[in-house]
Amino acid sequence: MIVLDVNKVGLRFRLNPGITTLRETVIRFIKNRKTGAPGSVNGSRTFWALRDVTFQVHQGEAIGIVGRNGAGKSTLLKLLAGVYRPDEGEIRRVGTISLLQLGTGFHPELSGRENTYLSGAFLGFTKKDIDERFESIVGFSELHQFIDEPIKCYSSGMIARLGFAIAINIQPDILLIDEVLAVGDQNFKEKCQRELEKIRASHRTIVFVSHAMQQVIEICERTLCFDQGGIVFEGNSREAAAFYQDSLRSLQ
Amino acid sequence: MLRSCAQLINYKELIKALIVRDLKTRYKRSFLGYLWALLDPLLMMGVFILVFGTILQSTVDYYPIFLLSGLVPWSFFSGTIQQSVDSITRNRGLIEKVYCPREVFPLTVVLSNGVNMAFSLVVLFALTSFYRIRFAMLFTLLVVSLAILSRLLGRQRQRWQLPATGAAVVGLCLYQPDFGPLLLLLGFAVFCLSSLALGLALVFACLNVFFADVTYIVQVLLRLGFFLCPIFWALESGRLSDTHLHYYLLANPLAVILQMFRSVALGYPWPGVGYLLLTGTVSIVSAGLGYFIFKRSEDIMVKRI
Repeated sequence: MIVLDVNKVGLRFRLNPGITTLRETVIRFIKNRKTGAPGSVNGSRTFWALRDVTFQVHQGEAIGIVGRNGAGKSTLLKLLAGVYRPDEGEIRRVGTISLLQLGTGFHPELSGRENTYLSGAFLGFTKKDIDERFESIVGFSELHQFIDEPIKCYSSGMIARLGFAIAINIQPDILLIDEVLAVGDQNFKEKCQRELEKIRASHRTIVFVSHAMQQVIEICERTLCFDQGGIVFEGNSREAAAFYQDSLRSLQ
Repeated sequence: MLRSCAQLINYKELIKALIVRDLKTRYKRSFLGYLWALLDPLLMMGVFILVFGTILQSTVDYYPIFLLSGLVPWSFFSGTIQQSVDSITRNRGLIEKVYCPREVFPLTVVLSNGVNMAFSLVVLFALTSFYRIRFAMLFTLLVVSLAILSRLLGRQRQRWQLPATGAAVVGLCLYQPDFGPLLLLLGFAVFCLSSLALGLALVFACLNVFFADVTYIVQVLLRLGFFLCPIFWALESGRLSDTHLHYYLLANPLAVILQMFRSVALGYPWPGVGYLLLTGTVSIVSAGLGYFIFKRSEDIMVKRI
Protein backbone atom coordinates (compact mmCIF):
# COMPACT_ATOMS: atom_id res chain seq x y z
CA MET A 1 0.00 0.00 0.00
CA ILE A 2 1.25 3.47 -0.87
CA VAL A 3 1.22 5.65 2.24
CA LEU A 4 2.89 8.72 0.72
CA ASP A 5 2.08 9.73 -2.83
CA VAL A 6 3.93 12.84 -3.95
CA ASN A 7 2.82 13.93 -7.38
CA LYS A 8 4.60 16.71 -9.33
CA VAL A 9 4.94 18.80 -6.23
CA GLY A 10 6.39 22.29 -6.30
CA LEU A 11 6.84 24.91 -3.62
CA ARG A 12 7.96 28.46 -4.20
CA PHE A 13 9.24 31.12 -1.89
CA ARG A 14 9.56 34.80 -2.49
CA LEU A 15 13.20 35.73 -2.57
CA ASN A 16 14.43 38.11 0.03
CA PRO A 17 11.23 39.85 1.08
CA GLY A 18 13.40 41.04 3.93
CA ILE A 19 11.91 42.60 6.99
CA THR A 20 8.97 44.26 5.38
CA THR A 21 7.48 47.42 6.66
CA LEU A 22 4.25 48.98 5.67
CA ARG A 23 6.14 51.85 4.11
CA GLU A 24 8.10 49.56 1.80
CA THR A 25 4.99 47.73 0.73
CA VAL A 26 3.16 50.91 -0.05
CA ILE A 27 6.11 52.22 -2.06
CA ARG A 28 6.49 48.95 -3.93
CA PHE A 29 2.80 48.83 -4.62
CA ILE A 30 2.83 52.32 -6.12
CA LYS A 31 5.97 51.63 -8.13
CA ASN A 32 4.59 48.37 -9.49
CA ARG A 33 1.39 50.06 -10.50
CA LYS A 34 3.35 52.63 -12.45
CA THR A 35 5.70 50.23 -14.18
CA GLY A 36 3.10 47.47 -14.25
CA ALA A 37 5.82 44.89 -13.70
CA PRO A 38 4.11 41.62 -14.52
CA GLY A 39 4.68 38.38 -12.65
CA SER A 40 6.47 39.89 -9.73
CA VAL A 41 4.59 40.06 -6.50
CA ASN A 42 5.54 43.23 -4.70
CA GLY A 43 8.64 43.47 -6.87
CA SER A 44 10.44 40.41 -5.46
CA ARG A 45 11.49 37.37 -7.43
CA THR A 46 10.19 33.90 -6.75
CA PHE A 47 12.34 30.89 -6.08
CA TRP A 48 11.22 27.30 -6.48
CA ALA A 49 12.57 25.42 -3.46
CA LEU A 50 11.14 22.24 -4.93
CA ARG A 51 9.74 21.59 -8.35
CA ASP A 52 8.28 18.64 -10.18
CA VAL A 53 9.01 16.19 -7.38
CA THR A 54 7.32 12.83 -7.81
CA PHE A 55 7.80 9.70 -5.75
CA GLN A 56 5.89 7.13 -3.73
CA VAL A 57 6.58 5.48 -0.42
CA HIS A 58 5.10 2.13 0.49
CA GLN A 59 3.96 1.04 3.90
CA GLY A 60 6.75 -0.38 6.03
CA GLU A 61 9.45 1.10 3.84
CA ALA A 62 12.40 3.15 5.05
CA ILE A 63 13.37 5.69 2.47
CA GLY A 64 16.48 7.86 2.65
CA ILE A 65 16.85 11.38 1.37
CA VAL A 66 20.29 12.83 0.74
CA GLY A 67 21.54 15.99 -0.90
CA ARG A 68 23.68 19.03 -0.38
CA ASN A 69 22.66 21.92 1.84
CA GLY A 70 19.82 23.82 0.23
CA ALA A 71 18.77 20.94 -2.00
CA GLY A 72 15.27 21.05 -0.52
CA LYS A 73 15.38 18.10 1.89
CA SER A 74 13.99 19.84 4.94
CA THR A 75 11.45 21.71 2.85
CA LEU A 76 10.30 18.38 1.49
CA LEU A 77 9.84 16.97 4.99
CA LYS A 78 7.81 20.02 5.98
CA LEU A 79 5.62 19.52 2.93
CA LEU A 80 5.16 15.87 3.83
CA ALA A 81 4.29 16.84 7.42
CA GLY A 82 1.69 19.30 6.15
CA VAL A 83 3.43 22.41 7.47
CA TYR A 84 3.55 23.85 3.96
CA ARG A 85 0.87 23.35 1.37
CA PRO A 86 2.32 22.71 -2.12
CA ASP A 87 1.92 25.48 -4.70
CA GLU A 88 1.85 22.87 -7.44
CA GLY A 89 0.92 19.22 -7.57
CA GLU A 90 -0.46 17.22 -4.67
CA ILE A 91 0.54 15.04 -1.77
CA ARG A 92 -1.60 12.22 -0.52
CA ARG A 93 -0.84 10.62 2.83
CA VAL A 94 -2.37 7.70 4.66
CA GLY A 95 -2.18 7.58 8.44
CA THR A 96 -0.70 9.79 11.12
CA ILE A 97 2.54 11.56 10.46
CA SER A 98 5.16 13.07 12.73
CA LEU A 99 8.18 15.21 11.94
CA LEU A 100 11.25 14.92 14.12
CA GLN A 101 13.63 17.86 13.86
CA LEU A 102 16.38 19.25 15.98
CA GLY A 103 15.64 21.73 18.71
CA THR A 104 12.21 22.91 17.67
CA GLY A 105 8.81 22.55 19.14
CA PHE A 106 9.74 22.70 22.79
CA HIS A 107 8.91 25.60 25.03
CA PRO A 108 12.07 26.66 26.91
CA GLU A 109 10.35 27.72 30.15
CA LEU A 110 8.37 24.51 30.56
CA SER A 111 9.80 21.31 31.99
CA GLY A 112 10.53 18.20 29.98
CA ARG A 113 7.40 16.64 31.44
CA GLU A 114 5.16 19.55 30.46
CA ASN A 115 6.69 19.68 27.00
CA THR A 116 6.06 15.98 26.55
CA TYR A 117 2.35 16.46 27.20
CA LEU A 118 2.26 19.50 24.92
CA SER A 119 3.95 17.63 22.06
CA GLY A 120 1.47 14.84 22.54
CA ALA A 121 -1.42 17.28 22.39
CA PHE A 122 -0.20 18.51 19.02
CA LEU A 123 -0.67 15.03 17.65
CA GLY A 124 -4.13 14.75 19.17
CA PHE A 125 -3.19 12.72 22.23
CA THR A 126 -5.04 13.27 25.48
CA LYS A 127 -3.35 13.53 28.83
CA LYS A 128 -4.33 9.94 29.55
CA ASP A 129 -2.72 8.69 26.33
CA ILE A 130 0.55 10.29 27.32
CA ASP A 131 0.25 9.10 30.92
CA GLU A 132 0.34 5.56 29.61
CA ARG A 133 3.46 6.18 27.55
CA PHE A 134 5.22 8.54 29.92
CA GLU A 135 7.31 5.93 31.72
CA SER A 136 8.72 4.53 28.53
CA ILE A 137 9.40 8.02 27.14
CA VAL A 138 11.43 8.93 30.22
CA GLY A 139 13.06 5.52 30.19
CA PHE A 140 14.17 5.80 26.59
CA SER A 141 15.40 9.36 26.89
CA GLU A 142 17.30 8.51 30.14
CA LEU A 143 16.27 11.86 31.58
CA HIS A 144 14.87 10.54 34.88
CA GLN A 145 16.39 13.15 37.15
CA PHE A 146 16.01 16.05 34.72
CA ILE A 147 12.47 15.51 33.48
CA ASP A 148 11.08 18.26 35.74
CA GLU A 149 13.76 20.79 34.86
CA PRO A 150 12.90 23.45 32.28
CA ILE A 151 13.97 22.64 28.73
CA LYS A 152 16.16 25.73 28.57
CA CYS A 153 18.58 23.96 30.93
CA TYR A 154 18.87 20.90 28.65
CA SER A 155 21.82 20.27 26.38
CA SER A 156 21.14 19.77 22.68
CA GLY A 157 21.77 16.06 23.11
CA MET A 158 19.18 15.85 25.88
CA ILE A 159 16.62 17.71 23.79
CA ALA A 160 17.25 15.39 20.86
CA ARG A 161 16.86 12.36 23.12
CA LEU A 162 13.57 13.62 24.50
CA GLY A 163 12.28 14.45 21.00
CA PHE A 164 13.20 11.02 19.71
CA ALA A 165 11.72 9.28 22.75
CA ILE A 166 8.41 11.11 22.26
CA ALA A 167 8.33 10.44 18.53
CA ILE A 168 8.83 6.70 18.81
CA ASN A 169 6.46 6.29 21.74
CA ILE A 170 3.51 8.03 20.13
CA GLN A 171 3.95 5.60 17.23
CA PRO A 172 2.95 7.60 14.17
CA ASP A 173 2.27 5.62 10.97
CA ILE A 174 4.87 7.70 9.17
CA LEU A 175 7.93 9.05 10.94
CA LEU A 176 9.91 11.83 9.25
CA ILE A 177 13.41 12.19 10.67
CA ASP A 178 15.56 15.22 9.89
CA GLU A 179 19.18 14.91 11.03
CA VAL A 180 18.35 14.13 14.65
CA LEU A 181 20.75 11.27 15.10
CA ALA A 182 23.66 13.59 14.39
CA VAL A 183 23.91 14.98 17.93
CA GLY A 184 23.62 11.86 20.08
CA ASP A 185 26.58 9.83 21.29
CA GLN A 186 27.42 6.42 19.86
CA ASN A 187 25.40 4.65 22.51
CA PHE A 188 22.27 6.67 21.79
CA LYS A 189 22.67 6.32 18.02
CA GLU A 190 22.78 2.55 18.32
CA LYS A 191 19.72 2.59 20.53
CA CYS A 192 17.88 4.73 17.98
CA GLN A 193 18.86 2.46 15.17
CA ARG A 194 17.46 -0.51 17.04
CA GLU A 195 14.21 1.41 17.57
CA LEU A 196 14.03 2.28 13.89
CA GLU A 197 14.41 -1.41 13.10
CA LYS A 198 11.47 -2.11 15.40
CA ILE A 199 9.40 0.55 13.65
CA ARG A 200 10.05 -1.08 10.34
CA ALA A 201 9.25 -4.49 11.73
CA SER A 202 5.85 -3.18 12.80
CA HIS A 203 5.06 -2.07 9.22
CA ARG A 204 5.37 1.61 9.88
CA THR A 205 7.14 3.93 7.50
CA ILE A 206 10.28 6.02 7.90
CA VAL A 207 11.52 8.92 5.81
CA PHE A 208 15.10 9.56 6.83
CA VAL A 209 17.12 12.67 5.98
CA SER A 210 20.81 12.54 6.79
CA HIS A 211 24.28 13.49 5.70
CA ALA A 212 25.74 10.37 7.27
CA MET A 213 25.82 7.97 4.33
CA GLN A 214 26.65 4.97 6.48
CA GLN A 215 23.48 5.47 8.51
CA VAL A 216 21.36 5.93 5.42
CA ILE A 217 22.72 2.69 3.96
CA GLU A 218 22.11 0.82 7.22
CA ILE A 219 18.57 2.09 7.76
CA CYS A 220 17.10 2.54 4.29
CA GLU A 221 16.96 0.21 1.31
CA ARG A 222 15.93 2.94 -1.13
CA THR A 223 17.24 6.50 -1.27
CA LEU A 224 16.40 9.66 -3.19
CA CYS A 225 19.16 12.08 -4.01
CA PHE A 226 18.09 15.72 -4.25
CA ASP A 227 19.77 18.64 -5.91
CA GLN A 228 18.42 22.14 -6.50
CA GLY A 229 14.89 21.24 -5.62
CA GLY A 230 14.55 18.13 -7.73
CA ILE A 231 15.26 14.39 -7.59
CA VAL A 232 18.49 13.63 -9.46
CA PHE A 233 18.87 9.99 -8.49
CA GLU A 234 16.55 7.33 -7.15
CA GLY A 235 17.47 3.78 -6.26
CA ASN A 236 19.27 1.41 -3.97
CA SER A 237 20.82 3.23 -0.97
CA ARG A 238 24.35 2.02 -1.71
CA GLU A 239 24.15 3.28 -5.30
CA ALA A 240 22.53 6.54 -4.23
CA ALA A 241 25.29 7.14 -1.69
CA ALA A 242 27.92 6.45 -4.33
CA PHE A 243 26.16 8.78 -6.76
CA TYR A 244 25.93 11.52 -4.15
CA GLN A 245 29.58 11.20 -3.15
CA ASP A 246 30.64 11.28 -6.79
CA SER A 247 28.63 14.43 -7.38
CA LEU A 248 30.21 16.03 -4.32
CA ARG A 249 33.69 15.11 -5.55
CA SER A 250 33.08 16.49 -9.00
CA LEU A 251 32.18 19.81 -7.42
CA GLN A 252 35.46 20.16 -5.57
CA MET B 1 -14.53 27.66 5.77
CA LEU B 2 -17.22 26.15 7.98
CA ARG B 3 -15.62 22.74 7.58
CA SER B 4 -12.22 23.96 8.69
CA CYS B 5 -13.94 25.63 11.61
CA ALA B 6 -15.62 22.37 12.59
CA GLN B 7 -12.22 20.68 12.33
CA LEU B 8 -11.09 22.68 15.33
CA ILE B 9 -12.99 20.25 17.54
CA ASN B 10 -10.35 17.64 16.72
CA TYR B 11 -7.75 19.92 18.20
CA LYS B 12 -9.42 20.54 21.54
CA GLU B 13 -6.71 18.63 23.40
CA LEU B 14 -4.11 20.88 21.83
CA ILE B 15 -6.06 24.03 22.61
CA LYS B 16 -6.43 22.91 26.21
CA ALA B 17 -2.72 22.16 26.48
CA LEU B 18 -1.82 25.52 24.97
CA ILE B 19 -4.07 27.40 27.39
CA VAL B 20 -2.41 25.62 30.29
CA ARG B 21 0.98 26.46 28.80
CA ASP B 22 0.00 30.11 28.46
CA LEU B 23 -1.22 30.33 32.02
CA LYS B 24 1.73 28.43 33.42
CA THR B 25 4.40 30.42 31.61
CA ARG B 26 2.74 33.72 32.37
CA TYR B 27 3.36 33.44 36.11
CA LYS B 28 6.05 30.80 36.09
CA ARG B 29 8.90 32.83 37.41
CA SER B 30 7.01 35.10 39.75
CA PHE B 31 6.91 34.53 43.48
CA LEU B 32 3.18 35.09 43.87
CA GLY B 33 2.26 32.97 40.84
CA TYR B 34 -1.43 32.71 40.09
CA LEU B 35 -2.25 35.26 42.75
CA TRP B 36 -1.23 37.89 40.22
CA ALA B 37 -4.38 37.12 38.25
CA LEU B 38 -6.33 38.43 41.25
CA LEU B 39 -3.91 41.11 42.34
CA ASP B 40 -3.47 42.73 38.95
CA PRO B 41 -7.00 44.13 38.57
CA LEU B 42 -7.02 45.21 42.22
CA LEU B 43 -3.73 47.08 41.97
CA MET B 44 -4.79 48.62 38.69
CA MET B 45 -7.99 49.76 40.37
CA GLY B 46 -5.94 51.21 43.22
CA VAL B 47 -3.93 53.32 40.80
CA PHE B 48 -7.03 54.64 39.09
CA ILE B 49 -8.84 55.37 42.32
CA LEU B 50 -5.84 57.39 43.38
CA VAL B 51 -5.70 59.34 40.12
CA PHE B 52 -9.31 59.78 39.15
CA GLY B 53 -11.13 59.28 42.43
CA THR B 54 -8.90 61.24 44.77
CA ILE B 55 -7.01 63.70 42.63
CA LEU B 56 -9.56 64.42 39.90
CA GLN B 57 -12.51 63.87 42.28
CA SER B 58 -14.86 61.87 40.12
CA THR B 59 -18.53 62.24 40.99
CA VAL B 60 -19.61 58.77 39.91
CA ASP B 61 -21.28 56.69 42.64
CA TYR B 62 -19.41 53.60 43.86
CA TYR B 63 -16.42 54.75 41.86
CA PRO B 64 -14.11 51.79 42.76
CA ILE B 65 -16.64 49.30 41.47
CA PHE B 66 -17.49 51.48 38.53
CA LEU B 67 -13.80 51.50 37.61
CA LEU B 68 -13.20 47.84 38.13
CA SER B 69 -16.27 46.81 36.10
CA GLY B 70 -14.78 48.77 33.19
CA LEU B 71 -11.19 47.74 33.76
CA VAL B 72 -11.87 44.00 33.88
CA PRO B 73 -13.36 43.70 30.38
CA TRP B 74 -10.91 46.25 29.01
CA SER B 75 -7.90 44.38 30.43
CA PHE B 76 -9.21 41.23 28.81
CA PHE B 77 -9.64 42.99 25.48
CA SER B 78 -6.33 44.82 25.40
CA GLY B 79 -4.41 41.87 26.87
CA THR B 80 -5.85 39.56 24.24
CA ILE B 81 -5.02 41.91 21.38
CA GLN B 82 -1.50 42.63 22.65
CA GLN B 83 -0.60 38.99 23.17
CA SER B 84 -2.17 37.75 19.98
CA VAL B 85 -0.38 40.22 17.72
CA ASP B 86 2.78 38.13 17.91
CA SER B 87 1.06 34.82 18.65
CA ILE B 88 2.00 33.44 15.23
CA THR B 89 5.57 34.73 15.13
CA ARG B 90 6.16 33.71 18.76
CA ASN B 91 5.12 30.14 18.04
CA ARG B 92 7.08 29.71 14.85
CA GLY B 93 9.04 26.84 16.41
CA LEU B 94 5.84 24.87 16.73
CA ILE B 95 4.24 26.05 13.51
CA GLU B 96 7.25 25.01 11.46
CA LYS B 97 7.33 21.58 13.00
CA VAL B 98 3.82 20.20 13.06
CA TYR B 99 0.64 20.90 11.20
CA CYS B 100 -2.24 22.26 13.18
CA PRO B 101 -4.83 24.84 12.20
CA ARG B 102 -2.87 27.98 12.99
CA GLU B 103 -5.89 29.84 14.31
CA VAL B 104 -5.46 27.83 17.51
CA PHE B 105 -2.73 30.27 18.56
CA PRO B 106 -4.81 33.49 18.58
CA LEU B 107 -7.75 31.45 19.85
CA THR B 108 -5.69 30.20 22.78
CA VAL B 109 -4.74 33.75 23.68
CA VAL B 110 -8.41 34.72 23.78
CA LEU B 111 -9.29 31.72 25.93
CA SER B 112 -6.41 32.02 28.38
CA ASN B 113 -7.21 35.69 28.87
CA GLY B 114 -10.80 34.58 29.37
CA VAL B 115 -9.69 32.38 32.26
CA ASN B 116 -7.89 35.37 33.73
CA MET B 117 -11.02 37.48 33.29
CA ALA B 118 -13.02 34.86 35.19
CA PHE B 119 -10.67 35.39 38.14
CA SER B 120 -10.99 39.16 37.87
CA LEU B 121 -14.76 38.88 37.73
CA VAL B 122 -14.68 36.97 40.98
CA VAL B 123 -12.80 39.90 42.51
CA LEU B 124 -15.30 42.32 41.01
CA PHE B 125 -18.32 40.52 42.39
CA ALA B 126 -16.65 40.00 45.73
CA LEU B 127 -16.36 43.78 45.93
CA THR B 128 -19.94 44.38 44.79
CA SER B 129 -21.13 42.10 47.55
CA PHE B 130 -18.94 44.01 49.96
CA TYR B 131 -20.76 47.17 48.91
CA ARG B 132 -24.03 45.23 49.27
CA ILE B 133 -25.03 45.97 45.71
CA ARG B 134 -25.06 42.46 44.33
CA PHE B 135 -23.90 39.39 46.09
CA ALA B 136 -25.50 36.44 44.34
CA MET B 137 -23.25 36.59 41.31
CA LEU B 138 -20.19 35.92 43.38
CA PHE B 139 -21.04 32.39 44.36
CA THR B 140 -21.95 31.26 40.88
CA LEU B 141 -18.85 32.76 39.39
CA LEU B 142 -16.67 31.20 42.04
CA VAL B 143 -18.09 27.79 41.28
CA VAL B 144 -17.86 28.25 37.53
CA SER B 145 -14.29 29.49 37.53
CA LEU B 146 -13.17 26.79 39.92
CA ALA B 147 -14.77 24.26 37.60
CA ILE B 148 -12.95 25.72 34.59
CA LEU B 149 -9.69 25.70 36.46
CA SER B 150 -9.91 22.17 37.75
CA ARG B 151 -10.71 20.94 34.25
CA LEU B 152 -7.77 22.82 32.80
CA LEU B 153 -5.38 21.52 35.40
CA GLY B 154 -6.35 18.09 34.19
CA ARG B 155 -8.16 16.83 37.24
CA GLN B 156 -10.97 14.41 36.75
CA ARG B 157 -14.23 16.18 36.30
CA GLN B 158 -16.03 16.00 39.62
CA ARG B 159 -19.48 14.47 39.39
CA TRP B 160 -20.99 17.07 41.66
CA GLN B 161 -19.73 20.10 39.76
CA LEU B 162 -22.31 20.32 37.00
CA PRO B 163 -25.42 19.59 39.07
CA ALA B 164 -24.12 21.75 41.90
CA THR B 165 -23.56 24.69 39.56
CA GLY B 166 -26.98 24.17 38.01
CA ALA B 167 -28.66 23.96 41.42
CA ALA B 168 -26.86 27.08 42.61
CA VAL B 169 -27.98 29.03 39.54
CA VAL B 170 -31.59 27.88 39.80
CA GLY B 171 -31.63 28.54 43.52
CA LEU B 172 -30.30 32.04 43.10
CA CYS B 173 -32.77 32.77 40.30
CA LEU B 174 -35.63 31.84 42.62
CA TYR B 175 -34.18 33.75 45.52
CA GLN B 176 -33.48 36.87 43.48
CA PRO B 177 -35.84 37.20 40.51
CA ASP B 178 -33.60 39.63 38.65
CA PHE B 179 -30.62 37.29 38.85
CA GLY B 180 -31.50 35.13 35.83
CA PRO B 181 -31.69 38.00 33.31
CA LEU B 182 -28.48 39.49 34.75
CA LEU B 183 -26.64 36.23 34.32
CA LEU B 184 -27.86 36.09 30.71
CA LEU B 185 -26.71 39.66 30.14
CA LEU B 186 -23.29 38.86 31.59
CA GLY B 187 -23.03 35.81 29.33
CA PHE B 188 -24.01 37.89 26.30
CA ALA B 189 -21.49 40.59 27.23
CA VAL B 190 -18.68 38.04 27.59
CA PHE B 191 -19.68 36.44 24.29
CA CYS B 192 -19.67 39.76 22.41
CA LEU B 193 -16.40 40.83 23.97
CA SER B 194 -14.62 37.57 23.16
CA SER B 195 -15.79 37.27 19.58
CA LEU B 196 -14.95 40.91 18.92
CA ALA B 197 -11.49 40.33 20.40
CA LEU B 198 -11.08 37.06 18.49
CA GLY B 199 -11.79 38.68 15.14
CA LEU B 200 -9.30 41.47 15.73
CA ALA B 201 -6.76 39.03 17.21
CA LEU B 202 -6.88 36.88 14.08
CA VAL B 203 -6.41 39.83 11.73
CA PHE B 204 -3.60 41.42 13.72
CA ALA B 205 -1.76 38.11 14.27
CA CYS B 206 -1.86 37.50 10.54
CA LEU B 207 -0.84 41.04 9.54
CA ASN B 208 2.03 41.03 12.00
CA VAL B 209 3.69 38.19 10.10
CA PHE B 210 3.92 40.41 7.05
CA PHE B 211 4.44 43.81 8.67
CA ALA B 212 6.31 44.14 11.93
CA ASP B 213 4.82 47.65 12.23
CA VAL B 214 1.52 46.20 13.29
CA THR B 215 2.80 45.63 16.84
CA TYR B 216 3.34 49.36 17.28
CA ILE B 217 0.21 50.48 15.50
CA VAL B 218 -1.85 48.20 17.72
CA GLN B 219 -0.27 49.67 20.84
CA VAL B 220 -1.20 53.17 19.78
CA LEU B 221 -4.74 52.09 18.90
CA LEU B 222 -5.17 50.41 22.26
CA ARG B 223 -4.02 53.52 24.06
CA LEU B 224 -6.51 55.57 22.10
CA GLY B 225 -9.20 52.98 22.77
CA PHE B 226 -8.59 53.18 26.49
CA PHE B 227 -9.57 56.84 26.51
CA LEU B 228 -12.41 56.57 23.99
CA CYS B 229 -14.16 53.82 25.90
CA PRO B 230 -16.10 54.74 29.02
CA ILE B 231 -13.70 53.01 31.42
CA PHE B 232 -12.82 55.67 33.96
CA TRP B 233 -15.50 58.15 32.90
CA ALA B 234 -19.23 57.61 32.71
CA LEU B 235 -21.38 58.00 29.61
CA GLU B 236 -24.09 59.34 31.91
CA SER B 237 -22.04 62.17 33.32
CA GLY B 238 -23.82 65.54 33.09
CA ARG B 239 -21.98 67.29 30.30
CA LEU B 240 -21.93 64.26 27.99
CA SER B 241 -25.56 63.22 28.13
CA ASP B 242 -26.70 66.66 26.94
CA THR B 243 -24.84 66.39 23.66
CA HIS B 244 -25.04 64.19 20.60
CA LEU B 245 -21.53 62.98 21.41
CA HIS B 246 -23.22 60.45 23.66
CA TYR B 247 -24.64 58.61 20.63
CA TYR B 248 -21.38 58.63 18.72
CA LEU B 249 -19.57 57.16 21.69
CA LEU B 250 -22.18 54.43 22.00
CA ALA B 251 -21.61 53.48 18.35
CA ASN B 252 -18.43 51.88 19.68
CA PRO B 253 -19.37 48.25 20.38
CA LEU B 254 -16.89 48.17 23.27
CA ALA B 255 -18.73 51.03 24.96
CA VAL B 256 -21.97 49.06 24.79
CA ILE B 257 -20.24 45.96 26.13
CA LEU B 258 -18.79 47.94 29.04
CA GLN B 259 -22.27 49.29 29.69
CA MET B 260 -23.56 45.71 29.88
CA PHE B 261 -20.92 44.84 32.46
CA ARG B 262 -22.00 47.87 34.51
CA SER B 263 -25.64 46.89 34.29
CA VAL B 264 -24.67 43.57 35.83
CA ALA B 265 -22.28 44.85 38.50
CA LEU B 266 -23.91 48.15 39.44
CA GLY B 267 -27.49 47.87 38.29
CA TYR B 268 -27.13 50.53 35.59
CA PRO B 269 -29.98 50.67 33.04
CA TRP B 270 -29.57 48.09 30.28
CA PRO B 271 -28.46 49.32 26.86
CA GLY B 272 -31.41 49.51 24.44
CA VAL B 273 -32.41 46.45 22.41
CA GLY B 274 -31.14 48.13 19.25
CA TYR B 275 -27.70 48.58 20.76
CA LEU B 276 -27.65 45.01 22.03
CA LEU B 277 -28.56 43.61 18.62
CA LEU B 278 -26.09 45.84 16.82
CA THR B 279 -23.26 44.92 19.17
CA GLY B 280 -24.05 41.23 18.87
CA THR B 281 -24.02 41.46 15.09
CA VAL B 282 -20.79 43.46 14.95
CA SER B 283 -19.09 40.95 17.25
CA ILE B 284 -20.14 37.92 15.22
CA VAL B 285 -19.19 39.61 11.95
CA SER B 286 -15.83 40.53 13.45
CA ALA B 287 -15.07 36.92 14.38
CA GLY B 288 -16.30 35.59 11.02
CA LEU B 289 -14.45 38.13 8.92
CA GLY B 290 -11.27 37.74 10.98
CA TYR B 291 -11.39 33.99 10.54
CA PHE B 292 -11.96 34.34 6.80
CA ILE B 293 -9.00 36.70 6.34
CA PHE B 294 -6.79 34.52 8.51
CA LYS B 295 -7.63 31.34 6.62
CA ARG B 296 -7.17 32.98 3.24
CA SER B 297 -3.64 34.10 4.03
CA GLU B 298 -2.60 31.07 6.09
CA ASP B 299 -0.52 29.34 3.39
CA ILE B 300 1.49 32.45 2.53
CA MET B 301 1.81 33.32 6.20
CA VAL B 302 3.46 29.99 7.09
CA LYS B 303 6.12 30.51 4.44
CA ARG B 304 6.91 33.96 5.73
CA ILE B 305 7.32 33.45 9.47
